[in-house]
Amino acid sequence: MVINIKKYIYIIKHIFIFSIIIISFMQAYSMAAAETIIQDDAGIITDNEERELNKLCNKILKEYNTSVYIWTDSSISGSDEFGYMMEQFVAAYPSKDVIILMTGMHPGDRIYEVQAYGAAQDMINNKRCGKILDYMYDDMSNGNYYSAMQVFCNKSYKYMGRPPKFDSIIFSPVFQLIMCLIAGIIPVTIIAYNSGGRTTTNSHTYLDINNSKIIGSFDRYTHTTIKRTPKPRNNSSSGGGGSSGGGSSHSSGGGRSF
Amino acid sequence: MVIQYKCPGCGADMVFNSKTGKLYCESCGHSEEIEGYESEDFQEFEEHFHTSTFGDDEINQYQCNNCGAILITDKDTTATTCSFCGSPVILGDRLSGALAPSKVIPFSISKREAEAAFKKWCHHGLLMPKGFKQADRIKSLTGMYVPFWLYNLQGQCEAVAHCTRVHTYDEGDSIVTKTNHFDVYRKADLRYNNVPADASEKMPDDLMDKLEPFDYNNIREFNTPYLAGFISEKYNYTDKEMFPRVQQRVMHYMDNYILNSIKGYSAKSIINRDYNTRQISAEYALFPVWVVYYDYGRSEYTFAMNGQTGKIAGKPPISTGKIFGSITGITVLLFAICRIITILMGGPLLW
Repeated sequence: MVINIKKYIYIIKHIFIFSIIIISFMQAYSMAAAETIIQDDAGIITDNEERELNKLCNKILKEYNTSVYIWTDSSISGSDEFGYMMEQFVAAYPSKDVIILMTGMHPGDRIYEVQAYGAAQDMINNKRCGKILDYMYDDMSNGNYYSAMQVFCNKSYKYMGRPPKFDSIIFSPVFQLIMCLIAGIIPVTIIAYNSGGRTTTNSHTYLDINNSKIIGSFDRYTHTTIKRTPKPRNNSSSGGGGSSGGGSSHSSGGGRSF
Repeated sequence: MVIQYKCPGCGADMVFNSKTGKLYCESCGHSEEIEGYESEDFQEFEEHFHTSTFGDDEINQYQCNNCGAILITDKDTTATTCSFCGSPVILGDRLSGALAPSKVIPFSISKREAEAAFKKWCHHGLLMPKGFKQADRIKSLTGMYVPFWLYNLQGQCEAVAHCTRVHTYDEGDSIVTKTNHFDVYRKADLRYNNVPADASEKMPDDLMDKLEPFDYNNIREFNTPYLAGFISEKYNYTDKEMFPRVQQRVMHYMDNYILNSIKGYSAKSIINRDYNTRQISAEYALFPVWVVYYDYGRSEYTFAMNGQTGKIAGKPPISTGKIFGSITGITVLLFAICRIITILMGGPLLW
């Protein structure tokens, strides 16, 4: 009996130790998986700015366990190669859920692009990638790269906390507030208007139905008018992108030259 | 000629009782059927007892049979109470000849009921100021028979309406809206009975219109005892003078009748009409109205209550604070609901 108990304790102890090893290994792996990488090969931001951006990116990392990569380069030219290099950049790290901003500073072919990989692309879809690019455009063209990157970090953070369906205007608080205000004004105005009593007689109140009738009628067709309007196009917003054939699946804003 | 109804039992003045529809003696409780009362022969009185000392547009003098005091009345008054002894008096000569009403709807709401109904109405006024809602400043509540003309009208109308039927379909990259246009002709013979028009100068027409409808099932042949205890007025406008107003009103009714007869179109509007309204007859009738004078703030407000149905009309004061409060309250509540729904769907608290 004593031997049995010792045996059980021995097994339980080993299972416990083994579990701890596995759990810590998993944790270590997941910690390594999500990371912030700011690689300024083109040298367009200062060290201080890099540290600040790092803080912003770490916010996304912590809350949404999603990596943020910011890469600048001055050697790559041509959008095809640019897109390919981005994928390679992402593939070089083990993280699966990534948002990446890449800025190509090649003279005469300056371009920037946002892509999202893994679970991040559910939140930052093509449309949102395009929107982020649009928000950054003014700063990028004015040479305020740090400011543009801040916009990228802040918008990415915002979008990660809100599924894309909430981009619809009906979920906008301003829109909802206006609608609620209208919904408040209408009944109160009606009540105020009718406070002096309503006219409740109508055209049937005094009509003698038995002695009233239609005694002549005809409906004559005269003409037809036709109006054509073009169908509204879906996906008309900026940015195309989508999953690329060769590389891993991701969303993309389609890139912007600036 | 002054008519006063004396109780055969105790000699006190009798008044019309809205509950029983009979003449009632408040002293001894005696009731008398009105149907049995012979109509007064006003014509004869008019010839012999016309005591008018002024012209038609001025104030006439009558004497109260009870106390002998001079009854100073408005030129339009046909029934009132003696301001000295409070006895109900009816001025018979002003209800005779061309001024004889042919119909009357007696009061079915008593003064007490009218006051209670008015207080209840004030109490339920959502946007009225708090002080007004207490309804404790009713200055006077007067039961008044207001003169109306009741028209029977024959209308013949011909109208052409422009109507459309719209079909929408997809064709390639376009949405095609095809509209078929029609000229629709209708001719109708219409009959309207007992369309009322307020014939009193004092009563605002729109206020009286809002008191409608009156229930014609309770309309009676006119008899003076119905007026006992109430104020009554004679008409200021003849049926001919009031006809254009009624004609205007019936024209809207005819438009509606024509439009309702046109079915199966997406849109319809009358572009051409030829309406001919003929007056078949017009009857002079007295309708019961409780007139409420109410002091609030520095103004006096006038309300009218249908003495038969209790419907109230008249513009009450509106509290600006309550309007803004209500709008804000509804907006905040709805907005909170919207945000809660958004959050429950997984959305953010705000943007």
